[in-house]
Amino acid sequence: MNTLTVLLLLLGIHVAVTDRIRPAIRSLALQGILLGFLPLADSAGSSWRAATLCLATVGVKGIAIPAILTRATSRLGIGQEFESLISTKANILTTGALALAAFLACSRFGLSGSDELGAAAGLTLIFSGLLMMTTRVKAVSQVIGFVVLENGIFLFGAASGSEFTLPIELGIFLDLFVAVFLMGILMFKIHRTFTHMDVRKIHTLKD
Amino acid sequence: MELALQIPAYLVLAPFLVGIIRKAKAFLSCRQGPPLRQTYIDLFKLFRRGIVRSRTASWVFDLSAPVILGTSVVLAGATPLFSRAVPLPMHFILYIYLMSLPRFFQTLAGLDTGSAFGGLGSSREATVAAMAEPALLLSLCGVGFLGKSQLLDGMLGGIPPGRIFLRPELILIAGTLFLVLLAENSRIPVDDPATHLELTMIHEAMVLDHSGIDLGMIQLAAALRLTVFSALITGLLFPGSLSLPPVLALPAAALKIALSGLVVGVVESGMARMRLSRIASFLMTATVLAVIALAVRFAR
Repeated sequence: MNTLTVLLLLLGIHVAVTDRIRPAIRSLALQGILLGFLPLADSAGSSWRAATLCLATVGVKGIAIPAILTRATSRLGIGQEFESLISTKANILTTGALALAAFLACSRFGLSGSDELGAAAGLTLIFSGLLMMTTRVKAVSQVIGFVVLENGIFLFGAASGSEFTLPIELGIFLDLFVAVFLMGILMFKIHRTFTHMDVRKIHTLKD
Repeated sequence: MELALQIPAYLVLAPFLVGIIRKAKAFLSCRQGPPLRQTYIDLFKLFRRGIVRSRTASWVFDLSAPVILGTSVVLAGATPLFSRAVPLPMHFILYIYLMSLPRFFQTLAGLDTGSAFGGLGSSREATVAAMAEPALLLSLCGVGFLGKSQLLDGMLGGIPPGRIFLRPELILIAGTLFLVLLAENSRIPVDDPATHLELTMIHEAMVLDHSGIDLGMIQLAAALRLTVFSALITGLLFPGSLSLPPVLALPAAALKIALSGLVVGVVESGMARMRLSRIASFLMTATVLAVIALAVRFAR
């Protein structure tokens, strides 16, 4: 259980600090699959509920979203490099500092319920997802950041022990799936219109 | 009895580890590779040779090789290999300082010969070492918290036994130490021990001007250092191996060292050398891993 949580945390950090897009998507997929096994490892819920959640998580986060992202990167012909506003070194150090801040916040302010490690790992994923969404300049990596953020919320929710009902959790999955799907289509349209995916240049648009 | 055997055991196992790494790399690239005894033969050959000295070299150069080997032997005396007790119990801060003392003399000797390569290697080595230090310090702190001791043997011996896969902080610390091992011992993602290409070499550039018995001492010290790191990491991952009965202890130690040699060989075969500018990212990743290990340790 703890090892699973730390593995999720490490995968999130790998996504946040790597400067190549394919390994990032692969780590994201693995994170989604591992996240699916979290409700199974936590035996509190009824078994069919856990099984449905597991199937939905693995299907959406482990297979569907990475597939959409892979398809988008290959269709848009996006190269290997992530582009970030801050350097790789600054990125690594910032992520480390954010992880430390998340762990401190969880122990100091009592943000967590029973599973302090899970809550802190979830908060770290939320922070690093936010960092990715704000510092990356390519739309695909911002979408990856968004999914990491979502995974963080899932982990945090699972750790803090507050029980959602099954329809709500499935609804969240549907939302996420539709969001990534739409972003994939949108990226394709932007690419076709402007032949690049650099969000910095969108600021120069005027009518 | 076991205490007296520890340093000789290290001295015997060190060339063995280097041989295992070479064998593993040769096997993975479909070559035969030198036999395991080749490392010992090379060392004996070097120890029988005389020294050729640069005319600009001073006493610092003469002093460097004995100091480097001596410090490495002391480190070997402080790191548990096959029992919890060690001949030289040592505080972990002193241990870290003693780890950088040989490097200090190595860089000085590299500068002392007046060759351009020596200075080049020294500057790079100092850079890498400075960035590897925080990761090493933080991970040994983590081991100290786990083993509830400040002495190196105490902290390794004090790790409570249990299944390793259920203890993420231990795996994280071992991973950090492995990254530090690669950086501190000039292994492949950071430096290539087999290259003599002046653009890329770090450690080899510093020892270019050493010869004969001096070179032998430095090579033995480098192998000892690698063995000490391997013993540290395998001691963390297999805490039970430090409390075996005496008959099993030595074979277990040899097995541990061989295992870490295999892992290093596989990593070296599977990776390319990094650009010098990326080494900083590599070692910062190690530091961040150590920080997370500490954080995970306290999130209970």
